[in-house]
Amino acid sequence: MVKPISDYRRSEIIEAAISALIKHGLSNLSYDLIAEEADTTRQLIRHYYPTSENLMIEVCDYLAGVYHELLGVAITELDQTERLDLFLDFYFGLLDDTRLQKPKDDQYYDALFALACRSEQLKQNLHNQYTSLRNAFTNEVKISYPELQIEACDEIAHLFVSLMYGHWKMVANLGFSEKLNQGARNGVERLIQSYRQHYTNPVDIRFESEGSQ
Amino acid sequence: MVKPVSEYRRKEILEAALSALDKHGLSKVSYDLIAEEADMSRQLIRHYYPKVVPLMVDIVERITEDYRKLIINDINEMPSQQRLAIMMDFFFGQLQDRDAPPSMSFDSMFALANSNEQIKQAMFVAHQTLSETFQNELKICYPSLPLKVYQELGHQYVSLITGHWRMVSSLGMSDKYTAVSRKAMDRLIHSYLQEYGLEYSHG
Repeated sequence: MVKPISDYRRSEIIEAAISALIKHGLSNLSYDLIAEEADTTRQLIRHYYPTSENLMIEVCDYLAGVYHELLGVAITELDQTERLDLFLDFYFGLLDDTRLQKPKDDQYYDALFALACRSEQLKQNLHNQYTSLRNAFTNEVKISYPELQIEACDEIAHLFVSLMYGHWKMVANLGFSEKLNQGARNGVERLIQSYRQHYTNPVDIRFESEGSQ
Repeated sequence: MVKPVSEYRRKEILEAALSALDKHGLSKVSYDLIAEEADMSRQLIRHYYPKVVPLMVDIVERITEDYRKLIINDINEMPSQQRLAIMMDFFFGQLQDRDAPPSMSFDSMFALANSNEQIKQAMFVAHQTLSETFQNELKICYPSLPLKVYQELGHQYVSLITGHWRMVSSLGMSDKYTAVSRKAMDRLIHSYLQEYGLEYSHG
């Protein structure tokens, strides 16, 4: 079936919205600026996206799709045991392969997070996006270390997503050195090893430390 | 010397701006909403802060200052092991008598930092200070680790705090992970100590 023209228009508008966002920042973003970037009219954009919320939700989906494509291709080519390493290298920007660079999309996500404060739907959308990343990671950890309980894998996945997200805030947004990429990745690796040593034992490090004070 | 009245006003305005940001989110915050929150006129706020950027920069500095005060005033007298634990407890909201640091307003600041160099700089300093303070406490507790270890742990600490609160307070992920994240810091410290043949001491 021939793709309807609206599909093309929509993705042009989304791409224009993203570059307008980068050029002008969230607080200045307007339909006019997006129209200028897309070389189209404000009315046409309004036609496809009557509210800015619709538009931002689609920007969010678009960004998620980029990851899906990138990792989907790479991961099916690999042996199961190598996948966790690739996953980590990819998300901490440590792959040399130029086809597999983590998208430099931190600024778009900041804008989306700032907007999520007032849009329940956008918040839900971002929530789902990070939940599916977390679930994918839980899976990869379980495949690499089948002896770990699923609850442990789930905790590790939360830590991975949080550490990775926070890491890019520091590096990509605030200008901390990229040399920290390796250190952040090491953190996740160390946490996995720590869970392999300690999860079943309920007397964990913290409670021991509280007990002896 | 008597403090000029402007110092009090500015403080009140910052306070109000912070809670307006938390309540309404960045894209809705306006002079009117801050005025309402501060119980002042919009004109008075305009008088002290004619432009938005200096207001935002002051907010970030105010938050940084709060962190610094926590370390200097509140925990300075405690034994070092306890101080390290409190620094972690506080930022992961595990101290009973204190609220976790304001996080929603920092979300907004990250978005603003992308389009404004001054705000970005203030945010950089805020996080750098936090990381360095943590590294200092670590060094006091475990003086013999290589420099690189303190740096890595400091970075993991600020990154985990930032990422954790985005997931929990901005995206509504379960709060049960807060204890998990806090404990992860113990796991990380322990992991490095193990590598260098040191014991995790409990104060």
